[in-house]
Amino acid sequence: PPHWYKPFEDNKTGIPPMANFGEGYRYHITGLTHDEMGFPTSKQDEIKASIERLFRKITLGLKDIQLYEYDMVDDADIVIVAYGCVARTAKQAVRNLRKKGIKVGLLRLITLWPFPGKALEPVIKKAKKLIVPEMNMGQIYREVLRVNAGRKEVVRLGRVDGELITPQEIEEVL
Amino acid sequence: MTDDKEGIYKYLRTEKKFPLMWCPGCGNGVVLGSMLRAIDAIGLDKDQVAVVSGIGCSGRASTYVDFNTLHTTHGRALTFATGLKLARPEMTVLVVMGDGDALAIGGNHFIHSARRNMDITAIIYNNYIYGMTGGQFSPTTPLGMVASTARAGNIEASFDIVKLAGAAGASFVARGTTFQVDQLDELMEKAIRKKGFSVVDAITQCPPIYGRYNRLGSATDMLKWQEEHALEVEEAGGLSEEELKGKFLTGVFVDEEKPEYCEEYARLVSRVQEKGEG
Repeated sequence: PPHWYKPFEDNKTGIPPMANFGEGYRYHITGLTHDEMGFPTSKQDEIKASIERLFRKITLGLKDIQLYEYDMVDDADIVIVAYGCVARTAKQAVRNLRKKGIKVGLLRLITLWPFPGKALEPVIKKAKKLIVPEMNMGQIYREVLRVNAGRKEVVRLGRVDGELITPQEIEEVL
Repeated sequence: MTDDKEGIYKYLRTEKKFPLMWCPGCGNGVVLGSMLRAIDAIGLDKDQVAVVSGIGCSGRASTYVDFNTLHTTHGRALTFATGLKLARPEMTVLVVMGDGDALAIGGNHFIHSARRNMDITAIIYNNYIYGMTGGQFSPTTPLGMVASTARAGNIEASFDIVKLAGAAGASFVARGTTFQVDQLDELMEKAIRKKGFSVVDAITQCPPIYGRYNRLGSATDMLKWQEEHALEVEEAGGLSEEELKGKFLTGVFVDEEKPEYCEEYARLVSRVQEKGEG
């Protein structure tokens, strides 16, 4: 019933069911920090509960949010960690190098943030070396370094002149 | 429950969000009350009314009223309202914005909403300043007035909301003040009843910030100023330029019949569907 409805009530998933406007449930939506009824608040316990619920909601959904793809990483000595158009280049480099007998694989990141450290873990454990080609000054490389925590060698390949990284450039790094 | 209360109290969320955050002497309460009296006079169903507000002191108005309320980002109230109206064309959508919210950061949305002529009522709480953030001058701050970002006086010309809304294509444009409340009530009712984009420029006083920066006195002094300088547009016709100096006009300026967007959209849909079947 309408007067029992709490639009931002916490539950197991952190996702309260949402009523539509015009159906008999009159509630308030705001961008300010708010309580379970949706009204703005500056009460510390209400704000904390709200922020924690939002964080939990996203954390519980990470397996649907963090997308990635493994390509020939199972027996790879070297793994390229790439995303976007550079991942295409990396795919070609993997095929070229495999033909020459070098065991290389690709971890293609689809979601970059929250950074899918979980996808990186098994790769760090099995491989000897990681290559991170990016068309910037090394933003994802820094995340890979952080998750790596000094365990294996991580090499950066950056290109910032407006042109695509080529498969040859990646092959030359190895 | 609130439904057995008297007059505008039927529409206020008194057990939830009162006391108000507005200062003593603020004119916003009068504008809000006026809007509620209009809703009461028309007899709208609470579940079918949506109040979408922007950011600022006027933006807080949506928290206090018992309708489907949406407090949005700065300048984007009309955008959210457009989406809401398209999804629920049968609802009465009222948009509450400040002068800075509607005309500065929201200026683009304002002119296009007027051009599009969707059946939405835009109520601008015009206090000539950005009150909540400490008194910066806004697009409606008159020339020469002092603000925190214009300490020696504003050198920018200001918008005339009525002319802007009219030029952009709104089908109903009016101006009222917090002093002439009866007139404001009437204008609100007409604006809400009007099918098309209606704009109400509600002149309201901000004594602690705009008033203090410009030494305009107390709330009653500022209301007195409104009384002395407001002139109904019907009465201005016969007056000389000398007599009109320093005054501003109130009343209805535009009241036209124009195609309303949601109706046109529905017509487009059925037209295209017929063609598909033919």
